[in-house]
Amino acid sequence: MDGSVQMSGNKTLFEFPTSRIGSAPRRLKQIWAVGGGKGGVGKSLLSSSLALALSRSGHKTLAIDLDLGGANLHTTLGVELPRQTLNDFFAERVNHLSSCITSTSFPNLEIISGAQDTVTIANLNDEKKLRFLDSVRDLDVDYIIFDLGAGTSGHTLDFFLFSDVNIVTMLPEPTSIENGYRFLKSAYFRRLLVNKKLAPIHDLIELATDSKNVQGVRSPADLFKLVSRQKPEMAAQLKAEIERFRPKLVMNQVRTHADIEIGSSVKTVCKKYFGIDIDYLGYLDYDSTVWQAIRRKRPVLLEFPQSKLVGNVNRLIDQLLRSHGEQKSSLL
Amino acid sequence: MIFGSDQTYYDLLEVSSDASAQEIKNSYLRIKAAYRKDNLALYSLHEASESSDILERIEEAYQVLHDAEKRRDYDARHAFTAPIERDEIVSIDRVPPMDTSDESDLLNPPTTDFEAPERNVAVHAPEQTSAFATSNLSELNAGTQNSKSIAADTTVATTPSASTSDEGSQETEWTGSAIRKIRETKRYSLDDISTQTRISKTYLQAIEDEAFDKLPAPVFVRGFIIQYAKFLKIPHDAAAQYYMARFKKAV
Repeated sequence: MDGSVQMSGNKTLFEFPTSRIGSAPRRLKQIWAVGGGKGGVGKSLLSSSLALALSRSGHKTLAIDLDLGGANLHTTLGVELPRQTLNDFFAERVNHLSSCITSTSFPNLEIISGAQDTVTIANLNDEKKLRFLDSVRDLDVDYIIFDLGAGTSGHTLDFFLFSDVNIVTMLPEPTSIENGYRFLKSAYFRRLLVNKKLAPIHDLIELATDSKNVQGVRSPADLFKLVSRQKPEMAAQLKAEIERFRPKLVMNQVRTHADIEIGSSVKTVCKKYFGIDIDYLGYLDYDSTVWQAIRRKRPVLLEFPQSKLVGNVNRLIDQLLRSHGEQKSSLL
Repeated sequence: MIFGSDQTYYDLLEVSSDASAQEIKNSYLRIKAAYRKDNLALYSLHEASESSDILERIEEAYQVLHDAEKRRDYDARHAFTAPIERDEIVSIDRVPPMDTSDESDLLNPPTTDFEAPERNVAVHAPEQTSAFATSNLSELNAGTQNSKSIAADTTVATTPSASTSDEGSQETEWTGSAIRKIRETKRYSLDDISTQTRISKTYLQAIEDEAFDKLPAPVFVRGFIIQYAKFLKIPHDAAAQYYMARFKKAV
Protein backbone atom coordinates (compact mmCIF):
# COMPACT_ATOMS: atom_id res chain seq x y z
CA MET A 1 0.00 0.00 0.00
CA ASP A 2 1.34 3.42 -0.79
CA GLY A 3 -0.09 4.77 2.43
CA SER A 4 -1.79 7.70 0.82
CA VAL A 5 -5.19 8.63 2.03
CA GLN A 6 -7.48 10.37 -0.32
CA MET A 7 -9.37 13.08 1.37
CA SER A 8 -12.25 14.75 -0.29
CA GLY A 9 -11.03 17.60 -2.42
CA ASN A 10 -11.98 20.40 -0.11
CA LYS A 11 -9.46 21.34 2.51
CA THR A 12 -11.78 22.01 5.38
CA LEU A 13 -12.82 18.83 7.08
CA PHE A 14 -16.39 18.05 7.48
CA GLU A 15 -17.79 18.08 10.99
CA PHE A 16 -20.32 15.55 12.14
CA PRO A 17 -23.58 16.96 13.38
CA THR A 18 -23.57 16.96 17.15
CA SER A 19 -26.43 15.67 19.20
CA ARG A 20 -29.17 18.12 19.92
CA ILE A 21 -29.97 18.28 23.56
CA GLY A 22 -33.55 18.69 24.59
CA SER A 23 -35.17 17.54 21.38
CA ALA A 24 -37.85 14.90 21.38
CA PRO A 25 -36.71 11.34 22.10
CA ARG A 26 -35.96 9.46 18.93
CA ARG A 27 -36.91 5.99 18.00
CA LEU A 28 -33.68 5.15 16.22
CA LYS A 29 -31.45 2.82 18.19
CA GLN A 30 -28.42 2.42 15.99
CA ILE A 31 -26.86 2.88 12.61
CA TRP A 32 -24.74 0.06 11.25
CA ALA A 33 -22.49 0.70 8.28
CA VAL A 34 -21.05 -1.90 5.95
CA GLY A 35 -17.96 -0.87 3.99
CA GLY A 36 -14.80 -2.49 2.75
CA GLY A 37 -12.98 -0.57 0.08
CA LYS A 38 -13.23 -2.98 -2.77
CA GLY A 39 -16.20 -3.65 -5.01
CA GLY A 40 -17.67 -7.11 -5.06
CA VAL A 41 -16.72 -8.11 -1.55
CA GLY A 42 -20.31 -8.58 -0.48
CA LYS A 43 -21.21 -5.23 1.03
CA SER A 44 -24.67 -5.16 -0.51
CA LEU A 45 -25.27 -8.83 0.19
CA LEU A 46 -24.25 -8.41 3.82
CA SER A 47 -26.22 -5.16 4.19
CA SER A 48 -29.39 -6.62 2.77
CA SER A 49 -29.00 -9.83 4.74
CA LEU A 50 -28.41 -7.96 8.00
CA ALA A 51 -31.36 -5.69 7.29
CA LEU A 52 -33.64 -8.59 6.44
CA ALA A 53 -32.58 -10.60 9.48
CA LEU A 54 -33.10 -7.59 11.76
CA SER A 55 -36.54 -6.94 10.34
CA ARG A 56 -37.48 -10.59 10.73
CA SER A 57 -36.56 -10.47 14.41
CA GLY A 58 -39.15 -7.73 14.84
CA HIS A 59 -37.08 -4.56 14.52
CA LYS A 60 -38.26 -1.90 12.16
CA THR A 61 -35.32 -1.61 9.82
CA LEU A 62 -34.30 0.74 7.05
CA ALA A 63 -31.52 -0.06 4.61
CA ILE A 64 -30.01 2.96 2.89
CA ASP A 65 -28.01 2.49 -0.27
CA LEU A 66 -25.11 4.92 -0.09
CA ASP A 67 -23.30 3.49 -3.04
CA LEU A 68 -23.96 6.77 -4.75
CA GLY A 69 -23.76 6.27 -8.45
CA GLY A 70 -23.70 2.50 -8.28
CA ALA A 71 -26.77 1.74 -6.27
CA ASN A 72 -28.29 -1.72 -6.42
CA LEU A 73 -29.32 -2.59 -2.92
CA HIS A 74 -32.92 -2.51 -4.10
CA THR A 75 -32.14 -5.32 -6.54
CA THR A 76 -30.69 -7.60 -3.86
CA LEU A 77 -33.96 -7.15 -1.98
CA GLY A 78 -36.11 -7.70 -5.01
CA VAL A 79 -37.49 -4.18 -5.11
CA GLU A 80 -38.22 -2.57 -8.48
CA LEU A 81 -36.29 0.61 -9.14
CA PRO A 82 -37.94 3.00 -6.68
CA ARG A 83 -39.53 6.21 -7.86
CA GLN A 84 -37.96 8.38 -5.18
CA THR A 85 -34.28 8.04 -4.45
CA LEU A 86 -31.64 9.82 -2.44
CA ASN A 87 -31.07 11.95 -5.47
CA ASP A 88 -34.42 13.63 -4.92
CA PHE A 89 -33.39 14.45 -1.38
CA PHE A 90 -30.03 15.83 -2.38
CA ALA A 91 -31.57 17.80 -5.24
CA GLU A 92 -34.13 19.12 -2.75
CA ARG A 93 -37.04 17.87 -4.81
CA VAL A 94 -38.50 16.43 -1.61
CA ASN A 95 -38.65 18.12 1.78
CA HIS A 96 -38.11 15.17 4.00
CA LEU A 97 -35.83 12.19 3.77
CA SER A 98 -38.81 10.07 4.80
CA SER A 99 -40.39 10.83 1.41
CA CYS A 100 -37.65 8.77 -0.22
CA ILE A 101 -38.52 5.63 1.72
CA THR A 102 -39.72 2.72 -0.38
CA SER A 103 -41.47 -0.19 1.19
CA THR A 104 -40.49 -3.75 0.39
CA SER A 105 -42.54 -6.90 0.31
CA PHE A 106 -41.11 -7.84 3.71
CA PRO A 107 -42.72 -6.69 6.93
CA ASN A 108 -40.66 -4.21 9.00
CA LEU A 109 -38.22 -3.62 6.18
CA GLU A 110 -37.93 -0.46 4.12
CA ILE A 111 -35.22 0.93 1.91
CA ILE A 112 -33.97 4.22 0.58
CA SER A 113 -32.41 3.65 -2.76
CA GLY A 114 -29.20 5.24 -3.87
CA ALA A 115 -29.25 7.89 -6.50
CA GLN A 116 -29.37 6.86 -10.10
CA ASP A 117 -28.14 10.08 -11.54
CA THR A 118 -24.40 9.75 -11.10
CA VAL A 119 -23.41 13.18 -12.28
CA THR A 120 -24.92 15.27 -9.55
CA ILE A 121 -24.19 12.82 -6.78
CA ALA A 122 -20.50 12.61 -7.35
CA ASN A 123 -20.50 16.28 -6.39
CA LEU A 124 -22.27 15.82 -3.10
CA ASN A 125 -21.11 18.61 -0.82
CA ASP A 126 -20.63 18.77 2.91
CA GLU A 127 -23.70 20.85 3.49
CA LYS A 128 -25.93 18.29 1.83
CA LYS A 129 -24.20 15.48 3.60
CA LEU A 130 -24.76 17.18 6.91
CA ARG A 131 -28.42 17.69 6.12
CA PHE A 132 -28.71 14.03 5.23
CA LEU A 133 -27.02 12.76 8.39
CA ASP A 134 -29.10 15.11 10.48
CA SER A 135 -32.34 13.88 8.90
CA VAL A 136 -31.37 10.24 9.20
CA ARG A 137 -31.56 10.41 12.95
CA ASP A 138 -35.17 11.51 12.94
CA LEU A 139 -36.50 8.62 10.89
CA ASP A 140 -39.10 6.47 12.57
CA VAL A 141 -37.20 3.16 12.60
CA ASP A 142 -35.21 1.05 15.06
CA TYR A 143 -32.16 0.25 12.97
CA ILE A 144 -30.58 1.78 9.91
CA ILE A 145 -28.10 -0.07 7.73
CA PHE A 146 -25.78 1.97 5.52
CA ASP A 147 -24.67 0.05 2.46
CA LEU A 148 -21.53 1.93 1.43
CA GLY A 149 -19.95 2.18 -1.97
CA ALA A 150 -16.50 0.98 -2.91
CA GLY A 151 -13.48 3.22 -2.59
CA THR A 152 -12.22 5.60 0.04
CA SER A 153 -13.86 8.86 -0.92
CA GLY A 154 -14.35 11.35 1.86
CA HIS A 155 -18.12 10.91 1.72
CA THR A 156 -17.96 7.15 2.06
CA LEU A 157 -15.54 7.45 4.99
CA ASP A 158 -17.79 9.99 6.70
CA PHE A 159 -20.87 7.80 6.36
CA PHE A 160 -18.83 4.93 7.77
CA LEU A 161 -17.47 6.92 10.70
CA PHE A 162 -20.84 8.49 11.49
CA SER A 163 -22.33 5.07 12.24
CA ASP A 164 -22.45 3.30 15.58
CA VAL A 165 -21.26 -0.03 14.29
CA ASN A 166 -18.54 0.03 11.62
CA ILE A 167 -18.42 -3.22 9.69
CA VAL A 168 -15.72 -3.97 7.13
CA THR A 169 -16.03 -6.93 4.79
CA MET A 170 -13.07 -8.61 3.17
CA LEU A 171 -12.52 -11.67 1.06
CA PRO A 172 -9.55 -13.96 1.58
CA GLU A 173 -7.91 -12.55 -1.55
CA PRO A 174 -4.91 -10.21 -1.84
CA THR A 175 -6.83 -7.56 -3.76
CA SER A 176 -9.57 -7.41 -1.20
CA ILE A 177 -7.14 -7.45 1.75
CA GLU A 178 -5.18 -4.63 0.19
CA ASN A 179 -8.22 -2.47 -0.41
CA GLY A 180 -9.66 -3.39 2.94
CA TYR A 181 -6.54 -2.14 4.68
CA ARG A 182 -6.53 0.99 2.55
CA PHE A 183 -10.10 1.64 3.56
CA LEU A 184 -9.34 1.06 7.25
CA LYS A 185 -6.29 3.26 7.09
CA SER A 186 -8.20 6.08 5.42
CA ALA A 187 -11.02 5.85 7.94
CA TYR A 188 -8.51 5.66 10.79
CA PHE A 189 -6.72 8.85 9.84
CA ARG A 190 -9.89 10.69 8.94
CA ARG A 191 -11.32 9.81 12.31
CA LEU A 192 -8.28 11.27 14.04
CA LEU A 193 -8.34 14.35 11.80
CA VAL A 194 -11.92 15.31 12.60
CA ASN A 195 -11.40 14.75 16.32
CA LYS A 196 -11.43 18.12 18.05
CA LYS A 197 -9.54 16.82 21.04
CA LEU A 198 -6.62 16.13 18.76
CA ALA A 199 -6.64 19.61 17.23
CA PRO A 200 -3.18 20.46 18.66
CA ILE A 201 -1.63 17.67 16.60
CA HIS A 202 -3.82 18.12 13.57
CA ASP A 203 -0.85 19.11 11.42
CA LEU A 204 1.08 15.99 12.43
CA ILE A 205 -1.85 13.71 11.63
CA GLU A 206 -2.28 15.41 8.30
CA LEU A 207 1.38 14.81 7.63
CA ALA A 208 0.89 11.10 8.19
CA THR A 209 -1.83 11.00 5.55
CA ASP A 210 0.64 12.20 2.94
CA SER A 211 2.69 9.19 1.93
CA LYS A 212 5.48 11.29 0.48
CA ASN A 213 6.04 13.48 3.52
CA VAL A 214 9.61 14.44 4.20
CA GLN A 215 9.58 13.54 7.88
CA GLY A 216 9.30 9.91 6.85
CA VAL A 217 6.06 9.31 8.69
CA ARG A 218 4.84 6.14 7.01
CA SER A 219 2.69 4.36 9.54
CA PRO A 220 0.60 4.98 12.65
CA ALA A 221 3.65 3.93 14.68
CA ASP A 222 5.68 6.69 13.06
CA LEU A 223 2.94 9.17 13.82
CA PHE A 224 2.82 8.12 17.44
CA LYS A 225 6.59 8.45 17.70
CA LEU A 226 6.51 11.88 16.14
CA VAL A 227 3.77 13.08 18.49
CA SER A 228 5.60 11.64 21.50
CA ARG A 229 8.64 13.63 20.47
CA GLN A 230 7.07 16.90 19.42
CA LYS A 231 3.97 17.11 21.58
CA PRO A 232 4.55 14.57 24.34
CA GLU A 233 1.61 15.92 26.33
CA MET A 234 -0.70 14.78 23.50
CA ALA A 235 0.61 11.21 23.22
CA ALA A 236 -1.72 9.73 25.82
CA GLN A 237 -4.70 11.48 24.27
CA LEU A 238 -3.78 10.22 20.82
CA LYS A 239 -3.47 6.68 22.13
CA ALA A 240 -6.85 6.92 23.84
CA GLU A 241 -8.54 8.23 20.70
CA ILE A 242 -6.92 5.55 18.55
CA GLU A 243 -8.11 2.84 20.88
CA ARG A 244 -11.64 4.15 20.78
CA PHE A 245 -11.92 3.08 17.14
CA ARG A 246 -13.39 -0.42 17.19
CA PRO A 247 -14.33 -1.52 13.67
CA LYS A 248 -15.81 -4.96 13.06
CA LEU A 249 -14.63 -7.45 10.51
CA VAL A 250 -16.59 -9.99 8.50
CA MET A 251 -14.73 -12.38 6.20
CA ASN A 252 -16.85 -13.23 3.22
CA GLN A 253 -16.68 -16.18 0.82
CA VAL A 254 -14.57 -18.40 3.04
CA ARG A 255 -13.94 -21.85 1.65
CA THR A 256 -11.53 -23.39 4.13
CA HIS A 257 -10.62 -23.20 7.75
CA ALA A 258 -7.47 -21.33 6.79
CA ASP A 259 -9.67 -18.67 5.18
CA ILE A 260 -11.48 -18.19 8.47
CA GLU A 261 -8.19 -17.80 10.26
CA ILE A 262 -7.12 -15.01 7.95
CA GLY A 263 -9.71 -12.96 9.79
CA SER A 264 -7.97 -13.63 13.12
CA SER A 265 -4.67 -12.71 11.56
CA VAL A 266 -6.10 -9.45 10.22
CA LYS A 267 -7.23 -8.66 13.75
CA THR A 268 -3.76 -9.36 15.15
CA VAL A 269 -2.00 -7.43 12.44
CA CYS A 270 -4.30 -4.42 12.89
CA LYS A 271 -3.61 -4.43 16.60
CA LYS A 272 0.10 -4.23 15.98
CA TYR A 273 -0.04 -1.87 13.03
CA PHE A 274 -2.86 0.53 13.93
CA GLY A 275 -3.11 -0.06 17.67
CA ILE A 276 -6.83 -0.80 17.32
CA ASP A 277 -8.90 -3.72 18.51
CA ILE A 278 -10.87 -5.07 15.62
CA ASP A 279 -13.83 -7.16 16.55
CA TYR A 280 -13.77 -10.20 14.28
CA LEU A 281 -17.49 -10.79 14.07
CA GLY A 282 -17.34 -13.90 11.95
CA TYR A 283 -17.46 -15.13 8.40
CA LEU A 284 -19.83 -16.01 5.61
CA ASP A 285 -19.30 -19.31 3.85
CA TYR A 286 -18.70 -19.26 0.15
CA ASP A 287 -22.05 -20.16 -1.22
CA SER A 288 -22.80 -20.86 -4.83
CA THR A 289 -26.48 -20.20 -4.23
CA VAL A 290 -25.82 -16.48 -3.94
CA TRP A 291 -25.54 -15.88 -7.65
CA GLN A 292 -28.64 -17.90 -8.30
CA ALA A 293 -30.57 -15.79 -5.84
CA ILE A 294 -29.22 -12.61 -7.39
CA ARG A 295 -30.31 -13.70 -10.85
CA ARG A 296 -33.76 -14.26 -9.52
CA LYS A 297 -33.59 -10.85 -7.83
CA ARG A 298 -34.51 -12.45 -4.55
CA PRO A 299 -32.81 -12.16 -1.14
CA VAL A 300 -30.64 -15.23 -0.75
CA LEU A 301 -31.80 -15.60 2.84
CA LEU A 302 -35.33 -16.28 1.62
CA GLU A 303 -34.58 -18.02 -1.61
CA PHE A 304 -32.34 -20.64 0.01
CA PRO A 305 -33.31 -20.79 3.66
CA GLN A 306 -31.35 -24.03 4.07
CA SER A 307 -28.05 -22.56 2.95
CA LYS A 308 -25.19 -22.19 5.39
CA LEU A 309 -25.27 -18.48 4.73
CA VAL A 310 -28.49 -18.10 6.66
CA GLY A 311 -26.89 -19.62 9.74
CA ASN A 312 -23.85 -17.39 9.28
CA VAL A 313 -25.91 -14.23 9.05
CA ASN A 314 -28.06 -15.15 12.02
CA ARG A 315 -24.95 -15.74 14.08
CA LEU A 316 -23.59 -12.30 13.14
CA ILE A 317 -26.87 -10.64 14.05
CA ASP A 318 -27.05 -12.42 17.39
CA GLN A 319 -23.56 -11.34 18.22
CA LEU A 320 -24.09 -7.74 17.19
CA LEU A 321 -27.34 -7.45 19.09
CA ARG A 322 -25.79 -9.02 22.13
CA SER A 323 -22.80 -6.69 22.20
CA HIS A 324 -24.45 -3.49 21.00
CA GLY A 325 -28.06 -4.02 20.27
CA GLU A 326 -30.09 -2.31 22.88
CA GLN A 327 -27.72 0.51 23.65
CA LYS A 328 -28.93 3.82 22.40
CA SER A 329 -26.83 5.30 19.69
CA SER A 330 -24.18 7.70 20.91
CA LEU A 331 -25.26 10.09 18.19
CA LEU A 332 -28.71 10.72 19.52
CA MET B 1 4.17 -2.13 17.83
CA ILE B 2 2.52 1.16 17.30
CA PHE B 3 2.97 2.49 20.80
CA GLY B 4 6.60 1.47 20.68
CA SER B 5 8.70 1.48 23.81
CA ASP B 6 5.57 2.08 25.82
CA GLN B 7 4.67 -1.55 25.46
CA THR B 8 5.19 -4.24 28.02
CA TYR B 9 5.66 -7.91 27.23
CA TYR B 10 2.02 -8.36 28.13
CA ASP B 11 1.02 -5.73 25.57
CA LEU B 12 3.16 -7.41 22.97
CA LEU B 13 1.49 -10.74 23.56
CA GLU B 14 -1.92 -9.04 23.86
CA VAL B 15 -2.76 -10.58 27.19
CA SER B 16 -3.52 -9.10 30.59
CA SER B 17 -0.87 -9.19 33.30
CA ASP B 18 -2.73 -11.89 35.18
CA ALA B 19 -3.10 -14.16 32.16
CA SER B 20 -2.55 -17.86 32.74
CA ALA B 21 0.37 -19.72 31.17
CA GLN B 22 -2.06 -21.30 28.73
CA GLU B 23 -3.53 -17.97 27.68
CA ILE B 24 -0.06 -16.62 27.08
CA LYS B 25 0.85 -19.61 24.99
CA ASN B 26 -2.32 -19.44 22.90
CA SER B 27 -1.88 -15.79 22.23
CA TYR B 28 1.77 -16.29 21.32
CA LEU B 29 0.89 -18.99 18.82
CA ARG B 30 -1.88 -16.87 17.33
CA ILE B 31 0.39 -13.87 16.79
CA LYS B 32 3.15 -16.04 15.44
CA ALA B 33 0.74 -17.54 12.95
CA ALA B 34 -0.42 -14.08 11.88
CA TYR B 35 3.14 -13.00 11.10
CA ARG B 36 4.05 -16.19 9.32
CA LYS B 37 5.67 -15.39 6.04
CA ASP B 38 3.22 -15.24 3.14
CA ASN B 39 0.22 -14.86 5.36
CA LEU B 40 -2.37 -13.08 3.27
CA ALA B 41 -3.30 -10.89 6.21
CA LEU B 42 0.08 -9.13 6.01
CA TYR B 43 -0.35 -8.22 2.41
CA SER B 44 0.31 -4.56 1.61
CA LEU B 45 0.53 -3.52 5.25
CA HIS B 46 3.78 -4.91 6.56
CA GLU B 47 7.12 -5.22 4.89
CA ALA B 48 9.10 -8.40 5.47
CA SER B 49 11.63 -6.64 7.69
CA GLU B 50 8.87 -5.29 9.93
CA SER B 51 7.31 -8.70 10.28
CA SER B 52 10.56 -10.30 11.34
CA ASP B 53 11.14 -7.48 13.79
CA ILE B 54 7.74 -8.08 15.32
CA LEU B 55 8.34 -11.82 15.48
CA GLU B 56 11.62 -11.20 17.27
CA ARG B 57 9.99 -9.06 19.90
CA ILE B 58 7.16 -11.53 20.35
CA GLU B 59 9.72 -14.26 20.83
CA GLU B 60 11.59 -12.20 23.40
CA ALA B 61 8.39 -11.52 25.33
CA TYR B 62 7.37 -15.15 25.23
CA GLN B 63 10.75 -16.39 26.43
CA VAL B 64 10.27 -14.35 29.58
CA LEU B 65 6.57 -14.76 30.21
CA HIS B 66 6.31 -18.49 29.68
CA ASP B 67 9.07 -19.13 32.22
CA ALA B 68 7.45 -18.83 35.64
CA GLU B 69 10.59 -17.59 37.34
CA LYS B 70 11.55 -15.06 34.70
CA ARG B 71 7.99 -13.85 34.63
CA ARG B 72 8.03 -13.27 38.39
CA ASP B 73 11.22 -11.27 38.05
CA TYR B 74 9.78 -9.27 35.22
CA ASP B 75 6.59 -8.58 37.15
CA ALA B 76 8.52 -7.42 40.15
CA ARG B 77 10.56 -5.02 38.07
CA HIS B 78 7.51 -3.61 36.32
CA ALA B 79 5.15 -3.31 39.24
CA PHE B 80 2.82 -6.02 38.08
CA THR B 81 1.46 -7.90 41.01
CA ALA B 82 1.48 -11.60 40.35
CA PRO B 83 -1.76 -13.31 41.26
CA ILE B 84 -1.62 -13.61 45.03
CA GLU B 85 -3.87 -14.88 47.74
CA ARG B 86 -6.61 -12.58 48.97
CA ASP B 87 -5.53 -12.51 52.60
CA GLU B 88 -2.04 -11.55 51.66
CA ILE B 89 -3.32 -8.40 50.10
CA VAL B 90 -4.78 -7.14 53.30
CA SER B 91 -1.48 -6.15 54.78
CA ILE B 92 -0.66 -3.80 51.99
CA ASP B 93 -3.85 -1.93 52.61
CA ARG B 94 -3.07 -1.52 56.24
CA VAL B 95 -2.25 1.84 57.57
CA PRO B 96 1.48 1.75 58.18
CA PRO B 97 2.54 1.97 61.79
CA MET B 98 3.43 5.42 62.95
CA ASP B 99 7.05 6.32 63.06
CA THR B 100 7.85 6.48 66.75
CA SER B 101 11.53 7.20 66.41
CA ASP B 102 10.73 10.85 66.64
CA GLU B 103 8.45 11.73 69.52
CA SER B 104 6.81 14.58 67.69
CA ASP B 105 5.54 12.22 65.02
CA LEU B 106 3.19 10.67 67.49
CA LEU B 107 1.07 13.71 67.19
CA ASN B 108 0.76 13.35 63.45
CA PRO B 109 -1.54 11.00 61.65
CA PRO B 110 0.06 8.32 59.53
CA THR B 111 0.88 9.21 55.97
CA THR B 112 -1.94 7.26 54.40
CA ASP B 113 -4.39 9.60 56.03
CA PHE B 114 -5.87 11.90 53.41
CA GLU B 115 -5.47 14.86 55.69
CA ALA B 116 -1.86 14.17 56.53
CA PRO B 117 0.10 17.38 56.82
CA GLU B 118 2.62 17.84 54.11
CA ARG B 119 5.57 18.01 56.42
CA ASN B 120 5.22 14.31 56.98
CA VAL B 121 6.31 13.72 53.43
CA ALA B 122 9.27 15.60 52.21
CA VAL B 123 7.72 16.37 48.88
CA HIS B 124 9.39 19.69 48.24
CA ALA B 125 12.79 18.05 48.12
CA PRO B 126 12.52 14.90 46.04
CA GLU B 127 16.07 13.76 46.86
CA GLN B 128 15.09 13.43 50.49
CA THR B 129 11.88 11.60 49.92
CA SER B 130 13.16 8.11 49.60
CA ALA B 131 14.85 8.23 52.97
CA PHE B 132 11.48 8.72 54.53
CA ALA B 133 9.75 6.24 52.31
CA THR B 134 12.31 3.58 52.96
CA SER B 135 12.22 3.83 56.70
CA ASN B 136 8.49 3.94 56.62
CA LEU B 137 8.14 0.95 54.37
CA SER B 138 10.77 -1.14 56.00
CA GLU B 139 8.85 -0.72 59.19
CA LEU B 140 5.74 -1.70 57.44
CA ASN B 141 7.44 -4.78 56.15
CA ALA B 142 8.95 -5.66 59.49
CA GLY B 143 5.72 -5.09 61.29
CA THR B 144 3.51 -7.12 59.03
CA GLN B 145 5.34 -10.33 58.29
CA ASN B 146 5.71 -9.22 54.76
CA SER B 147 5.01 -11.67 52.05
CA LYS B 148 7.21 -12.05 49.06
CA SER B 149 4.77 -10.30 46.82
CA ILE B 150 4.70 -7.21 48.93
CA ALA B 151 8.44 -7.06 49.04
CA ALA B 152 8.48 -7.32 45.31
CA ASP B 153 5.87 -4.65 45.03
CA THR B 154 7.54 -2.14 47.23
CA THR B 155 11.07 -2.49 45.97
CA VAL B 156 9.97 -1.00 42.73
CA ALA B 157 9.38 2.43 44.01
CA THR B 158 11.45 2.69 47.13
CA THR B 159 14.99 1.96 46.22
CA PRO B 160 16.82 4.44 48.37
CA SER B 161 18.29 6.82 45.88
CA ALA B 162 20.42 8.45 48.53
CA SER B 163 22.33 5.33 49.38
CA THR B 164 23.18 4.16 45.92
CA SER B 165 24.38 5.80 42.78
CA ASP B 166 23.16 3.21 40.33
CA GLU B 167 21.51 5.95 38.29
CA GLY B 168 18.29 5.33 40.19
CA SER B 169 17.24 2.79 37.62
CA GLN B 170 14.72 1.20 39.95
CA GLU B 171 13.07 4.45 40.91
CA THR B 172 9.57 4.38 39.48
CA GLU B 173 8.27 7.68 38.32
CA TRP B 174 4.62 7.70 39.24
CA THR B 175 3.49 10.17 36.67
CA GLY B 176 -0.09 10.31 35.48
CA SER B 177 0.78 8.38 32.38
CA ALA B 178 2.70 5.74 34.37
CA ILE B 179 -0.42 5.18 36.45
CA ARG B 180 -2.53 5.04 33.32
CA LYS B 181 -0.19 2.48 31.86
CA ILE B 182 -0.54 0.21 34.83
CA ARG B 183 -4.28 0.61 34.77
CA GLU B 184 -4.40 -0.28 31.09
CA THR B 185 -2.11 -3.23 31.54
CA LYS B 186 -4.46 -4.51 34.21
CA ARG B 187 -7.34 -3.93 31.77
CA TYR B 188 -9.37 -1.57 33.90
CA SER B 189 -11.39 1.22 32.37
CA LEU B 190 -11.73 4.55 34.13
CA ASP B 191 -15.32 3.59 34.78
CA ASP B 192 -14.19 0.48 36.65
CA ILE B 193 -11.86 2.51 38.80
CA SER B 194 -14.49 5.16 39.39
CA THR B 195 -17.05 2.60 40.52
CA GLN B 196 -14.62 0.90 42.84
CA THR B 197 -12.95 3.93 44.38
CA ARG B 198 -15.88 6.34 44.13
CA ILE B 199 -13.58 8.95 42.70
CA SER B 200 -15.27 10.80 39.87
CA LYS B 201 -14.14 9.86 36.41
CA THR B 202 -13.33 13.48 35.62
CA TYR B 203 -10.79 13.56 38.42
CA LEU B 204 -9.34 10.20 37.47
CA GLN B 205 -8.94 11.44 33.94
CA ALA B 206 -7.34 14.65 35.16
CA ILE B 207 -4.96 12.67 37.38
CA GLU B 208 -3.82 10.56 34.47
CA ASP B 209 -3.57 13.52 32.12
CA GLU B 210 -1.88 15.56 34.82
CA ALA B 211 -4.42 18.25 34.08
CA PHE B 212 -3.60 19.82 37.40
CA ASP B 213 -5.87 22.79 36.95
CA LYS B 214 -8.86 20.47 36.88
CA LEU B 215 -7.99 18.89 40.20
CA PRO B 216 -9.19 20.02 43.61
CA ALA B 217 -7.03 21.02 46.59
CA PRO B 218 -3.89 18.95 47.21
CA VAL B 219 -5.22 17.14 50.24
CA PHE B 220 -8.00 15.66 48.15
CA VAL B 221 -5.73 14.79 45.28
CA ARG B 222 -3.43 13.02 47.67
CA GLY B 223 -6.34 10.97 48.92
CA PHE B 224 -7.37 10.14 45.38
CA ILE B 225 -3.90 8.98 44.46
CA ILE B 226 -3.70 6.74 47.48
CA GLN B 227 -7.11 5.23 46.80
CA TYR B 228 -6.32 4.76 43.17
CA ALA B 229 -2.86 3.31 43.84
CA LYS B 230 -4.25 0.88 46.37
CA PHE B 231 -6.78 -0.30 43.88
CA LEU B 232 -4.06 -0.89 41.32
CA LYS B 233 -1.91 -2.52 44.01
CA ILE B 234 1.01 -0.25 43.41
CA PRO B 235 2.99 1.20 46.33
CA HIS B 236 0.59 3.93 47.29
CA ASP B 237 2.83 5.98 49.55
CA ALA B 238 5.56 6.21 47.00
CA ALA B 239 3.06 6.97 44.26
CA ALA B 240 1.38 9.70 46.29
CA GLN B 241 4.70 11.25 47.25
CA TYR B 242 5.96 11.32 43.74
CA TYR B 243 2.74 12.53 42.24
CA MET B 244 2.11 15.21 44.84
CA ALA B 245 5.61 16.57 44.39
CA ARG B 246 4.85 17.00 40.71
CA PHE B 247 1.43 18.39 41.39
CA LYS B 248 2.70 21.06 43.76
CA LYS B 249 5.54 21.99 41.53
CA ALA B 250 3.09 22.63 38.72
CA VAL B 251 0.41 24.46 40.67
